[in-house]
Amino acid sequence: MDLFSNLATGFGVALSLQNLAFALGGVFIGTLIGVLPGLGPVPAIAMLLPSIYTLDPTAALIMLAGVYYGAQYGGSTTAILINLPGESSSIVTAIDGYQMARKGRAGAALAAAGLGSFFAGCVGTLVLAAFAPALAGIAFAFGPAEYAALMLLGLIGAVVLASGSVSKAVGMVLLGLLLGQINTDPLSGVERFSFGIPELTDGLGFVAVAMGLFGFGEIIGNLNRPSESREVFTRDVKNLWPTGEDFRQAMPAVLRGTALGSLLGVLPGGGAILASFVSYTLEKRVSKTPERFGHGAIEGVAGPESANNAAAQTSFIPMLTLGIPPNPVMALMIGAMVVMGITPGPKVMVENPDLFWGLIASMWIGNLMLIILNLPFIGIWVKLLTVPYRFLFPSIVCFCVIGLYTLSNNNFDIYLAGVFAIIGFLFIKLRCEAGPLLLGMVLGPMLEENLRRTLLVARGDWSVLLTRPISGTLIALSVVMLVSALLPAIRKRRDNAFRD
Amino acid sequence: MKSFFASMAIVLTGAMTTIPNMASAQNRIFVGTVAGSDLDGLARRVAEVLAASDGSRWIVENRPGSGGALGFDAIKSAPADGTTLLMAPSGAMTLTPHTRGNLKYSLADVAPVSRVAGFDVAYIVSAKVPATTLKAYIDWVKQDNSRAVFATPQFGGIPHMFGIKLGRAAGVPLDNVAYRGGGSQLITDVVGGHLLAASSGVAEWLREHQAGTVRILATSGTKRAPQLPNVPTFQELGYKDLVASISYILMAPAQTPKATIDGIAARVNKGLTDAKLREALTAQGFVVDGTANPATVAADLRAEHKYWGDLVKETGFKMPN
Amino acid sequence: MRIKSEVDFWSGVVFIVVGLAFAMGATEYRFGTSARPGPGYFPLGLGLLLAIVGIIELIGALGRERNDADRITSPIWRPMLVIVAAVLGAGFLLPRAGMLITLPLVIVLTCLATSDFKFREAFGLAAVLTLGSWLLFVVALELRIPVMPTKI
Repeated sequence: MDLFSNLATGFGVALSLQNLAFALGGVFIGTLIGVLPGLGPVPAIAMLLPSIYTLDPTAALIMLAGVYYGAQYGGSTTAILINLPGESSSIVTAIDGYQMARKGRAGAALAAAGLGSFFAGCVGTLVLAAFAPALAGIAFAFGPAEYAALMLLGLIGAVVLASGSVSKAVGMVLLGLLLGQINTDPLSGVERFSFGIPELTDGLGFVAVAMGLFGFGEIIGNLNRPSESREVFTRDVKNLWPTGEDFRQAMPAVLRGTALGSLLGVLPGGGAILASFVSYTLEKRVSKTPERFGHGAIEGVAGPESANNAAAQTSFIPMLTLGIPPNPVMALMIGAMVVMGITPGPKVMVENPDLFWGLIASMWIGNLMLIILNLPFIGIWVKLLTVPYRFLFPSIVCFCVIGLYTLSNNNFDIYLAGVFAIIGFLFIKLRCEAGPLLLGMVLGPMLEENLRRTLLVARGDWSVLLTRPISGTLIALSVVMLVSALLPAIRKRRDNAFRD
Repeated sequence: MKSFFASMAIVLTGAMTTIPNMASAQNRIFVGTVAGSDLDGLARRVAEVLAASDGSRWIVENRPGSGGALGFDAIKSAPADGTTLLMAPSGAMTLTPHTRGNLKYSLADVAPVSRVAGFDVAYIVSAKVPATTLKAYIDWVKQDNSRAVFATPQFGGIPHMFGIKLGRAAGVPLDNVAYRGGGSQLITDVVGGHLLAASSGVAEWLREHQAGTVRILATSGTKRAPQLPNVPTFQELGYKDLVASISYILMAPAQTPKATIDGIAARVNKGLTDAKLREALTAQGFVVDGTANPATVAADLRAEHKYWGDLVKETGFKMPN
Repeated sequence: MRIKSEVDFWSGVVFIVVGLAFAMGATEYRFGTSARPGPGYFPLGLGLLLAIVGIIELIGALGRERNDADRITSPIWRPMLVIVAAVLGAGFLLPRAGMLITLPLVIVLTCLATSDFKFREAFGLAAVLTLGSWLLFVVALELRIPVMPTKI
């Protein structure tokens, strides 16, 4: 088997002591960055780059890959522990993960996320090794029309995501879409809803809004409870490890999430976010007990986390096979490769087999290091939750404020998060879920841009959205999903009307 | 609680080891984008060059926002003593002031130090377009008006204006589809044939051109791009007036003493002659410069400012507010 | 007709107000046509859509019987006011006074959000967090955060 001999080459390269050390170092830095609210992998990598140029290329890339995975897992950790999604792809994790933590099951949630990610990472690595050239084509099959249809499907998924009333979820998605309209319209250069504030012309920052709505909003909400129920974390921290029942529930979700993530990860822009919440939607749909979702369903953590990590793996495909970076982290990695004299693209496999297979093997090792590093950490994280809340929340506020400032070395994001803290508290009072809003805010601009690009290219002909096979299929799926979400709600409303 | 403080203590002791680094004063280079952009990467190389030249400490401070305007805000209120610099693309001073009515900075607020590096604008077609030359492409567009669409990485940027100018010069009504600051979707859309042409900076397209998935028909320099010896310039093809480039300029606050500026310029330009650095930047698609003295760079910027001003007046192009 | 569900009723009101506000704001931007949507097309459409959803929500919230589970309990104002003030205050002070002054103030203020706070604990926490943040963010991670007050 070619694949196995290639992988053997790769492990031969990656398993040197030096490379293992770099993988561990990268994962450690990444986890640290990911756990600190507001800090992301991109600035970290940008800062590391100059010192990395002097390293051996394989070691350098192994370390950068480690930072990337570590940051992602760190982001999920804060989502579970303190309801603070570090990046858009962990919004979904926060929904059920944080509820699990509140029920004293933070350990199980973290373990499910970690083990699910590890499994997905292994599969993703194999997919990458076996099908990279074949999957690369998917990225090119997606043009503006296909992206528009995919975003539509994603937004409708966001409605299904909510556990409360459908009309409220629709409202929240629309609200998110409208907040996404605060930007400079990329197609016409018009500054929309910026009120002359220069910082608003780049759009509302995701991290600031998420921190306000989720992080600060949750703190205010918690402090509104009587102090006995506030300390719910501490009272009954159950076993750190998932139970057999947990494994039984999580396993199918992990498998489905991995498959979804592997496919969607290939798409540049938004692949990982979409993967995580399409997975959540799917789990809620297929579950026999969908009412558990939103209240600490382990599938709702394991599925999206697996999807997210599988996507992180396969997002390397366009980069390695074509030299096209799907996200800013990859763009930096390409920059690093180029500086070290490697031209990413179809030829990397042939010209630098050591590097190509070494990198693939090191991704797997990075995932392994992540789990080795983080499983023991789970105990520490859960301990952290036993810190009395009156110490915990000022610490969260302190770290968030610093993180917000460092986003763009500007205090505007701090103000923004402060304003969204009020809004987040209002939502809690009105029982509106903020998850769909955030997803709308992230996906909305992409939907609008791609739809308008489609129309510009097609000279105003909307029917291309239906006649192109991929976008047509995606739109049909969206309609089915919307109808299946609305029908029960309409029926219920009618029943209620009769009862009145 | 105990373990919380214990873990804190570990972090603290780890951090202690780096304290000596904090002693020396820091000089700053502002960048108006987030960390990780190509401009940011270039600025970090300049910071290294400056630090290596005399052991001083230089760091890059990102001030993203409002299309780079916040970087200019930062430099306007910075001390004019050579400790604070700004790195920005030339278009931010030569084109944007003509198109954006509400801009709070101008060329007069800064004193150029060095033209560090740059690249030309390229006109690119997808491999799915039958034309292999610019002339064939123009003829192909003229056959069917629905083909007259070109993509640009950013609305109102130099590549966009350049595309407009090309359309006027060639007599085809080229329609623009803008993306959000370039990135991978623009490239995949053109490679996938969803958009058939693009006007964009050369650097991002070199790999695709070499792989044959797109064709660069012409570049905008007065000379051919060094990475593309077989691609003609627009001037060679008879478009005498189609010359443009995107260059990254290192600047100081306007009141900085001339001697200070000249001193920094000498250090940067000398550092840019390093063969290894040049090779690395060239591979990324840059054309390394660092040859002109500050006065020449300033004169060039004023000429560029007039060039784009004339075009904007001629076309009536305006960023809507 | 009475308000059956207060929660839904006021959500509807929020949706209507925000939707209409965006729709009105959007009229300043070119609408374009359906074949060539301008920058005002989406915000106007989405704003009106949100207002419609708000109206549906509002009507659904009306009924004869009052649903007590859906009443909006009056909030405890102290935590919200204190947290928001702390965050906004931090935003104002950080670039001016630097983190060594800002953080202790903000942390002690934040501690005031609960009634079971003790001065000694708050000051202790402020000291530990400020020192820890300085070492972690400024020294170890070398982030660009103002440390000392700027001399203006």
